[in-house]
Amino acid sequence: MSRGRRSFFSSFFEEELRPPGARPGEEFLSLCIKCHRCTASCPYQSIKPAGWKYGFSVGTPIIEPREIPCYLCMICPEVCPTGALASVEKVDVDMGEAVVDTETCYAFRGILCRSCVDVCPYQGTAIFQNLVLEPVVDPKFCVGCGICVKACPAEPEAIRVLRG
Amino acid sequence: MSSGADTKRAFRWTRWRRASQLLFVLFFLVLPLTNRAGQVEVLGTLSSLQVGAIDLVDPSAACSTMLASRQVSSVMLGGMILPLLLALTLGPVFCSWICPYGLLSEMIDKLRLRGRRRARRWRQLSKLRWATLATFMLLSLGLGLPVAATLSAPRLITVLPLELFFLGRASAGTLTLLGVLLAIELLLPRRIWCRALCPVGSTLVLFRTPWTMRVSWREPTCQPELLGANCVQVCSWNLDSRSMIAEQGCTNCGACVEGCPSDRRSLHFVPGKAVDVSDGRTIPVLNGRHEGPAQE
Repeated sequence: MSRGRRSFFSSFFEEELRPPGARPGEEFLSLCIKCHRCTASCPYQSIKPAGWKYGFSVGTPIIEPREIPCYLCMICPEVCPTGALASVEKVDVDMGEAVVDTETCYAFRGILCRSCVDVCPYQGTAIFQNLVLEPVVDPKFCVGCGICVKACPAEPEAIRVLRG
Repeated sequence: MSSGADTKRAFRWTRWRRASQLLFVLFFLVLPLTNRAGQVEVLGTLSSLQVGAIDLVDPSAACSTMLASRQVSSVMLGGMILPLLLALTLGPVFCSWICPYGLLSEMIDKLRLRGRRRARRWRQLSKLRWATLATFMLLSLGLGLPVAATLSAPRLITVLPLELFFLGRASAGTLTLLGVLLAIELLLPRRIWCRALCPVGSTLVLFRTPWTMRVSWREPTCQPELLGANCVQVCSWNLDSRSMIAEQGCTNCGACVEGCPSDRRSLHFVPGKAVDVSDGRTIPVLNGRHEGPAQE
């Protein structure tokens, strides 16, 4: 799935993580009527309306994985009335990709930690440990659910989900 | 008001309307609670509501998002059907009988009027209404954002309990927009949002046809001067039920029908074109011109 290019204005604001199946960037903004059927359908309360720091996205559904990540139950794409969230197979979800911060990650500083690897639903393909036991993300398989972000013991988190 | 024992008691339209409004308030308070408990058959807000297999989409939000995204989907088109059927048959009753924001606006208006002798006469707002709706739709097209959906007052007021039950607090965006609406209610002319600015209501008013239910009146018995009645003040939008123009946006709230002091109840609802000819003198007043008394 191609990700939407960010407009000049949206570059001033924080980048948001959308629920699974979201249309890219500005197409999502043009389709979402902010009815929050997705918010109401989420059994984990992962989805919530964006605040002002997300600019034009204010009021649209986002996920802040450090608080509650997406557990990929795939209910929300089915309840969206406008197609802003489109039906998608669990393995084809592409909310973003996890990126490890090698400066702050415990494993890169010689501390034995595999929290992110342990919790990943696609453990072994999306994220795995290399020979020196550092976590490595394969963007081809990472769906961007953010479960690893929630699990990371570093403060602030040493793994983040980036879009595009 | 003359209300002798022999007078036929007017139907309590306002009482039933309040019951209906409160029912919807209750519905949108309880709905997020059931959703949190895992119920996902019925969910949504007044922007879009899913009831089992039925999708309901606010027509103004659907139009706005179709313009913004230049995409058409069967759910958006199909979801508009039931709301539009309601508007086509019963008029824009959504505004007066369903919308919780409408109820809030009415309550604020009551507080505003407290202590004032009489309401000031309202100006005609039809042009403002169409200009605002056109602006919202053009903005949707130009900006690529569903502006009308974002600014929908019924959406904002029904998304609030959802946020409270799911997040434990209202989101910044919703609070800001509701704050702006509240300022408009308090500072600008009475109920101007509902009467002229709300894209949801304006879109529904567009669908008033000659066949839509409306208020009608019987000329011979209607003598407000003799009875000392002020029908225009009874209307919460200060419309004159005897010279009403469709695009003035009457929402069929029934206040004038209930408030009519005439013994023979000069005002009544008629189901569109099917004019009540029981006394042969019913005059529909759509489009400001009398269609003339039916032939006896």
